[in-house]
Amino acid sequence: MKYVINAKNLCLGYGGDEPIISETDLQIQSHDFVFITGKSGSGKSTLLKSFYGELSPYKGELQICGLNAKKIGKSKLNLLRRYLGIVFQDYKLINSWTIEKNIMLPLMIGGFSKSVCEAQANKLLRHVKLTHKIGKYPLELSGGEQQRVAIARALAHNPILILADEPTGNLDDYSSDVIWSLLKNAREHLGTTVVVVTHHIPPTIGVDYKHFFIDKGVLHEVS
Amino acid sequence: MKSLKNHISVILTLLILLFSVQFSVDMYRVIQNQKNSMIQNYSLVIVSQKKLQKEDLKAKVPQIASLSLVSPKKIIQKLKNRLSNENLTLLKIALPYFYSIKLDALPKTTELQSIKTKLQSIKSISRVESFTKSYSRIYRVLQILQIITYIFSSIVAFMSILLLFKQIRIWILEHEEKIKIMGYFGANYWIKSAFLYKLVFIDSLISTALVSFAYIYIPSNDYIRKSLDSLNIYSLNFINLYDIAILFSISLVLSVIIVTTVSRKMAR
Repeated sequence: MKYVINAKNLCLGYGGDEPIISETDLQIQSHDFVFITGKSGSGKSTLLKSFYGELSPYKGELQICGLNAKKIGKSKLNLLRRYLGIVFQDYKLINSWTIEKNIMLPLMIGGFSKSVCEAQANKLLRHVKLTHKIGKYPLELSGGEQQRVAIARALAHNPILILADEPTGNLDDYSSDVIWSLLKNAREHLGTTVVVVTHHIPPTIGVDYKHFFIDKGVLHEVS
Repeated sequence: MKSLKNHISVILTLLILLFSVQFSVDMYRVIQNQKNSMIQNYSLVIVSQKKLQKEDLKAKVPQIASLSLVSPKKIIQKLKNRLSNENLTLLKIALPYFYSIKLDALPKTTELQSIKTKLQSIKSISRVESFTKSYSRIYRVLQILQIITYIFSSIVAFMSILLLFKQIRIWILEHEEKIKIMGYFGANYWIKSAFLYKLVFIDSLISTALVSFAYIYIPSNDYIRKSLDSLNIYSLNFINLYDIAILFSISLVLSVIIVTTVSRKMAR
């Protein structure tokens, strides 16, 4: 599999007259660290949604991890998502579960034993520096802490591809640094491909990355 | 607290449903019990000029369970003081045979009429007596009671099922976000809905236990016991292990079907 994401003439929209993303070509290789930037409402999140199968392209081609996003069935989509780690802007943590159980979620879905899930969750809680909050629920944590839990959850099952939507938006510097360092480590040590949608790239990111900019629904690579 | 409230709503609905099901079953049993006791106390009396054999009668009326000769001794005993020995001997010779017939099941009014006609068509039988009036009245009351119970239970069951649909829908809506998040990480339908099935299993278990307890406790209450005794219902079991298993199965199967239907419909 040469490309983790391969889009040709991709058109995305929500059924309105104007497509939100039009005639876009994009190739993301394995181990790439990619930033997609653009103004608010430019279609960054829409593009990301299509990568995890939340939105189907109505024109063009899109292949995610070798699977055709246009023809993907429910069972194949579930299988694909087990290889993805998604980080949402609004965290999307299960509030009735402890943060430990939230991190265990992808592993539980993958069918791992409870002891394996717990060991991995504890390891990740150490990495995101939240070991002391292990029995807490998401709503007992600050926004920065919740996002760190969301990152830990996205990394729990060693995914092939991490898709992060504004992972550091509105976070303090400390939480942002922890998140960037985790994403960099995932790419360096696990070979994970990372796609981040953000408003601005941190100047001290310290990693080789590709940068795409969305303008009026069209994606441009920034050299 | 909210979760407990939701549990109680489902348990209460299942409770009403199971209660009405068991009520119908028990009503059926009580009526059967009454029918049996009626058949024990009820018989046809026939007067015949010749001796009769059960097999001969059964060929014409298959519902006959037993045929017994009624001895005329008591009547003759009463007349002993009034009649001479000679006349008594003549009377003994001239007296017809009296038989009591028991049927294998309580017949409907029309069936009873047909039995009577068939018996009367036998040449040697001069008279057939039954207690049609009082008998058919009791029988009709029992039948109406049974129909009313079935209608009432069906309405209650239907309403409970509708309520269950609504309650499960509320459950799913409350857990919609959780189900969606699980979906983002590749959870299939069964993983996403496992907790719903677990909840209905627990609620089915609780509601079956409560209904069983009620049906064990209520008949043992003094007042109820006395009322049942007055109706000659002594040894009737209002609930047994088989009933409990059936109630649990009804509750579980129904709630599983409702959870599957609602969640599949909402996932579309």
